[in-house]
Amino acid sequence: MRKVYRVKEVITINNAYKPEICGQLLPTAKPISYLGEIDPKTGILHGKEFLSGKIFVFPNAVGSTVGSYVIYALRKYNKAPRAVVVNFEDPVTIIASIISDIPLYKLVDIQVKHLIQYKELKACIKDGELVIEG
Amino acid sequence: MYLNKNEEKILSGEYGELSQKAMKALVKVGEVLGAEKLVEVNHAHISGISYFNIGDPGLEFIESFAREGAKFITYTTANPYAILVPYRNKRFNKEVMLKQSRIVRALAQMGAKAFTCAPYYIRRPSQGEHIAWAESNAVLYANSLIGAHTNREGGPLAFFEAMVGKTYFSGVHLYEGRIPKCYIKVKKPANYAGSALLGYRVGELCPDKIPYVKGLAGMSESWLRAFLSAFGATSGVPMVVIEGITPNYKKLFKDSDLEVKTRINVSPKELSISKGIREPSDTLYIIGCPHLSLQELIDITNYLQTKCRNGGSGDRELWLITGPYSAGITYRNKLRVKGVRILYNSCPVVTRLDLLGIRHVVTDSGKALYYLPKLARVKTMIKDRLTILKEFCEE
Repeated sequence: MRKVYRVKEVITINNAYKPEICGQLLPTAKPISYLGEIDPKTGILHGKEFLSGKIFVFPNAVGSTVGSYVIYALRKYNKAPRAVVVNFEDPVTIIASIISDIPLYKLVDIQVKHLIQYKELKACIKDGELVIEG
Repeated sequence: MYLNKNEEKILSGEYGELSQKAMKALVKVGEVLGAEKLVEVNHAHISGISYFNIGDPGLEFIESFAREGAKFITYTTANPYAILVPYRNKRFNKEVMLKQSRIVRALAQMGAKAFTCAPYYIRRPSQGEHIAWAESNAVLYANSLIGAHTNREGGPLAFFEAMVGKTYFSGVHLYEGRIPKCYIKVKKPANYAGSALLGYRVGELCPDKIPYVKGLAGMSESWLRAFLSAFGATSGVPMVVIEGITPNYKKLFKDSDLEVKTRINVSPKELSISKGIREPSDTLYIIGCPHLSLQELIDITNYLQTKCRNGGSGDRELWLITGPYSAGITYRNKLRVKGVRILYNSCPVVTRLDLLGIRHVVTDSGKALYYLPKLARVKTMIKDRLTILKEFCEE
């Protein structure tokens, strides 16, 4: 199985070559409040999912504006996801991505809820495409 | 994005590396969000003050700017910090106390004027004014009740905006960005906690769209704050258009193209408020999320003085949380003997209450109901404000 979805680059990492970004897909159906739902020291989401090295996909951020610092702390503790993919980008997520140097993408033509079935499959982002291999 | 000459100079580093770094981040955010230009702000409000929330990485981030001499060039306030008073002789370790103090000192050194989640009681913006606020309840208050313009900024972004005195001109700074996209019809809540729970539910229904809410006209400012602050916990948008309350609500509604299918009725009767459940004897009552206004504090302390002559005996404490605008209120010592504490400039939601031995909290706040179990790590129950005061006094 190979699924391809279009993504728009929102924030790219500081690398002129824009390499392919790959990792295990971690989609969550509900919006995320970074503060309270992510433990930055362990990199664990909702007490059970490891974020480190994953392609973290969720609809949008909600809740505290302090959330940007939670993402920043994930980076400082070496627990950051490889990339973040959302349906709706907001200032809290954008500034988090900038100061933490985590690439941020927006899904162009599909809602996150349709990607839940691909959880834990390998995914790569390159040239405006999210490619999921099963 | 269009930048004027002075903004170009900041971006090119003519005014130093620190303001250049701030401007670079701000311009990047503006470009992503489609801003055509920057706009000057008269007030920035920063979130991310509690050491428990931002930890060593956040402390080092803030101190790295303060150490190099960075300053806030516009009027700047900041969120409250962690509560550092002891509870039944238990206190935080010296490291936590010291690191929290370092965050506050660094921000004060950069020019932060006050620490509260209710900056609208420190400096009330005017209708149409552009500001750059983080702290969701304050953002929702400014846009929805005053008609000021602020996006819901991330903590570090507001920090950068305070350093350059600008924000990006997009989102709710534009009229088009304020048009509601989600229609919610509600029945007016019966009390304070009902308002909070209603806000919580409306936020769940509109997590990424500005709602138009019909049915709250005539509600008091205090109840509207309860509604908006709880809404901010479950939604990511910076504004609620409230019929009969929000400036320009008629025009905003007329210009919206709300589809019938987004009409949802939410009745407060659907929302369960715990009634008559006896809490453990070590329950802590907390009122003041968001920070109590001076008038609310006066009303509550008057109630306690007159109706609560024997109240507060036994093990229970009642914490009333407020901002610096309430300093000087004379009830403090009298109420302390009844088990009441008035705490200024700090916030229980951003404090690890479990480390103080606190296990159960009863509050009237929908926002606190959402965050206390997650951040303060205590069991939390919501009850109406009057119910809490009555229960506390009956002890």
